[in-house]
Amino acid sequence: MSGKDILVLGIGNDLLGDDAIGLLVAEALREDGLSVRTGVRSGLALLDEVVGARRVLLIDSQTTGGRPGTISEFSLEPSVVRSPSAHYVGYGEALAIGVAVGLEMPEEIRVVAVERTPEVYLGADLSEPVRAALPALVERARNVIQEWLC
Amino acid sequence: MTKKISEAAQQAWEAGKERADQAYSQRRRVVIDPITRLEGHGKIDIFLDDAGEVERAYFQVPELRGFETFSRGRPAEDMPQITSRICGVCPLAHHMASVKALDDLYKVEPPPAAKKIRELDYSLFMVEDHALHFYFLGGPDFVVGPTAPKEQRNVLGVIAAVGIEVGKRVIAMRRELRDLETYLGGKTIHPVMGLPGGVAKGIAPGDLPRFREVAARAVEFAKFTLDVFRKVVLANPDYVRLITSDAYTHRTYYMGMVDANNKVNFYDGMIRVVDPSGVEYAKFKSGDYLNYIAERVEPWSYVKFCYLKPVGWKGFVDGPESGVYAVAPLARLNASDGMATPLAQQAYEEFFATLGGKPVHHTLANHWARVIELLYAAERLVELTDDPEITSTALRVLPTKQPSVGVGVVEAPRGTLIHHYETDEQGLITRANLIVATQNNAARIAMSVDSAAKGVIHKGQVDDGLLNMVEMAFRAYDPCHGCATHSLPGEMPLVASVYDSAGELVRQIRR
Repeated sequence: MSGKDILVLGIGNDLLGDDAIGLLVAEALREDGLSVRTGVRSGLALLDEVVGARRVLLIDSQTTGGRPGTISEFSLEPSVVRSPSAHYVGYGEALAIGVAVGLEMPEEIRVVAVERTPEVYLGADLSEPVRAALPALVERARNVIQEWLC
Repeated sequence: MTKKISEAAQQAWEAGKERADQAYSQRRRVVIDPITRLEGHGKIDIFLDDAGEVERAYFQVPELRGFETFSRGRPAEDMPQITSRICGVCPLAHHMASVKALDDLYKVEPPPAAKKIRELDYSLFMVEDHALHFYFLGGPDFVVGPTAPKEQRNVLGVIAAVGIEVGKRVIAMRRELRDLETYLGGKTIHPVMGLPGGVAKGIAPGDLPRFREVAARAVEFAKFTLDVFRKVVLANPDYVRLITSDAYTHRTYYMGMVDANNKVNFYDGMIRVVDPSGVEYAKFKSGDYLNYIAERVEPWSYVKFCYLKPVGWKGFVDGPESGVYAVAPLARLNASDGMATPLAQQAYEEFFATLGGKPVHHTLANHWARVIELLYAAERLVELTDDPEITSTALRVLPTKQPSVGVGVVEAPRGTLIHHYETDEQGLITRANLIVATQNNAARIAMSVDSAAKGVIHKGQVDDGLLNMVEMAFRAYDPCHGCATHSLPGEMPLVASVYDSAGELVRQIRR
């Protein structure tokens, strides 16, 4: 596997506090000379980014109710858990649609995510625990890429 | 000429918000930062009476607040970029409302070609957004059928019902539309095309054939979608029964933008309101919205509820005495006299003939209305790409007047969207007011959720089916909570809490 088969994708909105973290990590990895994209749209827009890449490393924040700043890593699988809103489909649903209609989907989408503070703020700054997690998050993302390149 | 919001009104508003925050935090025992805090999930609080019947159900989606504070002191011309980044779903709607507010702020009239380019871009977006909603987002509620097993009521169920080829076609259509939106907007997501007095970029004559091809394909796609709707939905008696059931019916006022002939228009025109019997109640220019729309806060919600100011607030009730109104596709069809393009006009007539004449009060008819609008937007693409002026290079009139107040309104896919800016003589924002579609619809959404809960909870019995019924009610409006869902898992969690007559929590259902 070479670097050109790998896409690094940072998702977030830099006007919404901790939501920006995915973008910040992606920028840090851009300096490593990788193919990096950033996105702020959720749901189906994920397909626009990942179709055609062999492996995707997705960096984002998450809200699972855990301690802010906690980092988790997992592979994203297609799923059809419905969002209560018609406004969006979740990531899992977006992937399920891509698979169902036969798009060229990646072999793997690995997610490195940091738990954010549960409140959403309009503003361009990170909360303390998430800011503190930034170096570890970049490190974690680099490890995934190293593993793929070996 | 829009009047500035008076200091007194602003102070009254701030005080009301403060009281609402305090009342809410006492009831919830959470501390609320009064500026920008929200919780990233939808909440339904259901209060039962002694007999275990629903006394009242309250629903709120996360609402992004503090925008007005955030934008103070920024140059007005930054607003189309800032506001389009509020939301990852309909950035172009915000961008367009914002750019129109700047035209108004600087009192500058864009050249005809610039307006057409804007409307062309906007029509591409409407086709895209409405198509996605129909097939992938709202679809599971009705394409699969309301009585289908739960595990099939998802997007895969829709693809199974309409066929994989259709799914492929939707994805391919969306891609083509997006590419053209990127061409015009400069970027896919956060367009940079709109400027006060015009647009930054036109269409090169050599690229026009591609636009025309996509427009023609969009019309075919829309016709086909209407067929799918007829075959899959209208042929299903269960669904038709559900559409017309009482739980999903409210006799309210309706609001939508119309052109000079009272036909639906998404990009520009007057705002028209019809009463619950379908008679025109008001028709006004964007800049006069404050005379017709008022907002109020309730102690249990962050959302500001809009109502018709001259009618007044009578609570969460329908009928001509109550100022509650609705926006979004159904409201637009009700508030107009028809569609400006031939095929959409036929579909419009069929819609009202089938559902018993105007106005239609059934919330779930929004899904059908959306498909009719999809057809209109596609036909409009053909008209605009055939317009001899569309490749003109006269795209901008430079603003020269001193800014003061500007209001811009467009019809977002989800309904009327209002941007209102006030600036100092340097063009720095002193005050901004945004009314998004979901606020316009908030009172009616609350009513729908309340009646859905009353329809399914009896004698204290609550089961998980409750959420489905309630969700169907608000999904039809497609409410926006765009700011709370950038994070994984990318879905808005929903929490329903049921309280007994003593106010004790007896059940909590999470989704």
